[in-house]
Amino acid sequence: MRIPREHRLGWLLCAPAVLAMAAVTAYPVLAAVRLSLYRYDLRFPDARRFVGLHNYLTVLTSAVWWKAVAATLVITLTSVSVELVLGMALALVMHRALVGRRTVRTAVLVPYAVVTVVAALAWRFAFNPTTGFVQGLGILDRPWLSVSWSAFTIIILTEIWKTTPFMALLLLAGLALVPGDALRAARVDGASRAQRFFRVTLPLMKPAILVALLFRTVDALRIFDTVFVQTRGALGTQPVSLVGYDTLLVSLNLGLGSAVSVLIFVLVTGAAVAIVRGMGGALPEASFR
Amino acid sequence: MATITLKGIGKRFSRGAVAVRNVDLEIHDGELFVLLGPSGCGKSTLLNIIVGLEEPTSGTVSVDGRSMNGVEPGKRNMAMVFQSYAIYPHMSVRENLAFPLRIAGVPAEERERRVAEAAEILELEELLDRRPATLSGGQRQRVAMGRAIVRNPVAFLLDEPLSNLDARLRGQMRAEIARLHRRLGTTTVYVTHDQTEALTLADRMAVLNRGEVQQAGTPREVYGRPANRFVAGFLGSPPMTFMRGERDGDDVVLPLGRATAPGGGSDVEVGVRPEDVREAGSATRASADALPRPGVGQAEAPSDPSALLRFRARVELLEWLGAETYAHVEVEEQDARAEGAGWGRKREDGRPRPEPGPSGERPQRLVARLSPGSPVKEGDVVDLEVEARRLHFFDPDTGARLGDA
Ligand SMILES: Nc1ncnc2c1ncn2[C@@H]1O[C@H](COP(=O)(O)OP(=O)(O)OP(=O)(O)O)[C@@H](O)[C@H]1O
Ligand SMILES: [Mg+2]
Repeated sequence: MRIPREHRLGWLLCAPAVLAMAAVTAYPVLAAVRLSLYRYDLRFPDARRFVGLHNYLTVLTSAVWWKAVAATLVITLTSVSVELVLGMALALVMHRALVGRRTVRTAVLVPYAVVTVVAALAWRFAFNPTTGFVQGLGILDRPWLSVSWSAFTIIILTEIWKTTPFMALLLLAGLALVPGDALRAARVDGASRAQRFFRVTLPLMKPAILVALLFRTVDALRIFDTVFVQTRGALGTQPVSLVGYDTLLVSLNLGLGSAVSVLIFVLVTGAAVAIVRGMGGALPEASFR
Repeated sequence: MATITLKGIGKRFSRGAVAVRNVDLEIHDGELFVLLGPSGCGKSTLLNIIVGLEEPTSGTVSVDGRSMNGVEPGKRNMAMVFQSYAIYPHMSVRENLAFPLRIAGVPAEERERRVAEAAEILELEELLDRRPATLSGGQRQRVAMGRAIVRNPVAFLLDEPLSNLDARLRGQMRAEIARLHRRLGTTTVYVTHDQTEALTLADRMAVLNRGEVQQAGTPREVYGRPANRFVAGFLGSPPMTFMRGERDGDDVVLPLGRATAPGGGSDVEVGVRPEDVREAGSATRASADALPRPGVGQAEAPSDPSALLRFRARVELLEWLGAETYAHVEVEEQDARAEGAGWGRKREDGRPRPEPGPSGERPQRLVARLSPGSPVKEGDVVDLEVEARRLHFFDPDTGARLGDA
C-alpha cells in the first residue's frame, strides 16, 4: 500500500496549485459557458432566462461573426507565416553574428518592448494622409487606412514589426540546440548550405518552431488592440475579439457576448491542438541525447 | 585510395592562438596513419584542415598531388568520424547511413544495397530502424563508422573515435577498426591521445606537441628511437625515467654508473625505459622479451658486456599487474659507487668528484619492470642492471636526441 500513499501525498502537494488554477481559469471559463446558455442583456436585466444553445445559433448564423473569423484568420495566417520566415532569418543572423552579438539581440528586441497600443498608434500616424511620413515616399502616397486591403496590410505589418523579435528569440534558442558537429558532419557528407538547413537544422529545430508557432498563433488569433487603435474594426478588419468586445461591453449583452467568448476559446484551443498534432512527433524527439 | 600530402601547414586562429605550426607529412596510400599527441596539441585542427572544415593559414593539403586548398569538404570525398560521433539525432540508423548517398544523388536501389552492405560489415542490421537516442555508445560508434564507409571515400578521418567508450569496449572497437582497415584498405588518418591505440593500430604515426610534429615514423621507430625528450616521455607506460648525466670526457656519469655518451662535451639528459632495467644476472630473460630495436642504432651499439650499468636500489613500491611487475625504486648511491663500473674512480681530469652525486640532493628514482615471478618485496635492496646501449641520450637544453638520431 505504499504507492497509494505516495499518490495521496502527491495530490496533497499539488492541491494548492490545482485550486488556484481552478479558481482563476476553470471557474471563469465555466461561468462564461453557463452565461452563454442564458438570454441575459444588461439593458433588460429582468428578461434573463435559460435559452439553451440559442445564443450560439444566433452567433453562428450571423454574417458579422463569419466575416470576423475570416478577418482574424487572414491576419493570423499572414502575420505568423511572415514572422516565422523573418524570425528565422533574424535568428540565423544573430546566431552567426561574431561581433556585437549582445547588442544585436538587444536591438532586435526593442519593438517587442514597445506597448502594443503605442506601436499601433505610431504606425497609424506614419500612414496618416496629412501627418504621416509615408506621404513623402511618392507611390506610397495614398489613404492607407481608408481602403480594406491596405488597412489589413498596415494591421499585419504592425503585428509583424512588433512580434517578429519574439519569434526570432524563440527560434534562436532552438538554433542553439542544433549540435555543431552534426552540421559539420553534414558538410563533410557533401550537403550544401541549403541542404544542411533543410535536412539537419530545421528538423532538429522542430520543437522550438512548434513552440514559437503555438505562442504566436494563439496570440494572433486573439488580436485586439492593434485593430482597435488603427481601424476600430472598420473596412472588414474586425477580428473575433472585437465582436466579443462589442457584444459584451458595448451592447452589454452578456449572454450573446459569452457565447462569442466561448466560441473564440474553442477556436484558439482548436488551433493549438491542430498545431501540436500537425507537427507530429516533434515533441518526443526533443528528448534526444 | 589516396596519398595525402601536407606541406608547411600552419593554422592561426583569429584570436591569435596558433594551433598548428609548419607541419609536413605524407600519408601513403592505404596506410593507417595515427596522429598522436596530448590534449590541445592541434590534432583535431590538423584533421579538420585535411577534410576541409578549416582552411590552413599557410601551406597546402594535396590528395594524389592535387591541391585541395579552397575545395569544399563535401567535394573531397573523405569521410570523417567525429569524437562526438555526430550522428543525426532525428534520423534512424538507416537514414543516417543513407544520408551521404542521398546527398550524392545515388539512386534508391543502389543506396539500399550499399547501406545493407555497410550494415553487414559493422553488424548493424538489427539496429537499422532504431533511433540514435536508443543506441549504446558502442553502437553509435559503429553507426558513425558505417556512415563513413558507405561512401567508398578516398580516406577515413577518425577523430578520437574510441575516447567515449569504456576500456573494454575500446579494446574491442580498436580491433574492429584494425580489421576494417585491413578489409577495406582505405587510407586512414586516426587521431588519438592514447599511445596504446597509436602503437597497436598505426602503420606509421606522427607525434604532435604544441602544434608541431615532433617525430614521424613507424611505431617501432618512434618508440625505439624517440627523436626528442618529449616523444621519449610521452610514449611508454609507465614512462621513461630521465636523469642528468654529467660529462666526464667521452663518458657521462649517471646515478646508475658510467656510460659512453654521444655528442659534444656537455652534460646530457639520459632516459631509461622500465623494461630495459632488469634484475642483475637475469640477462637471458631480459633480452628475450625486450622490445626489438630498429637496425641502425643496434649496429652501432657495442654489444660488449662491460657496457652494462649495475646499481643497487631500494624497492619503494611494487605494482603487480599480473603479467608483469613494476618496481619503483630509489637508487642507492653509496652501493652503486662501490660496485658500479667506474663510479668510484676519480675523474680523468683529476678534479674531485662533486658531492653529492650528479643528480643533486635528491636520490634518483627509477621504474623497473620485473618478471611477475620475482621474489622481490617492498623495502628490499636489489641489484639491477641496464645495458648501456638501451640508454637514450638527449640534449638537456634542446631536448633533441643525441648520437644515433
Ligand atoms: N575555433 C578555435 N578558435 C581558437 N582557438 C582554437 C579553436 N579551435 C581550437 N583552438 C585551439 O587550438 C589548439 C588545438 O586545438 P585542437 O582542438 O586541435 O586540439 P586537440 O589536439 O584536438 O585536443 P584534444 O585532444 O583535446 O581534442 C588548442 O589550443 C585550442 O584551444
Ligand atoms: Mg580534438
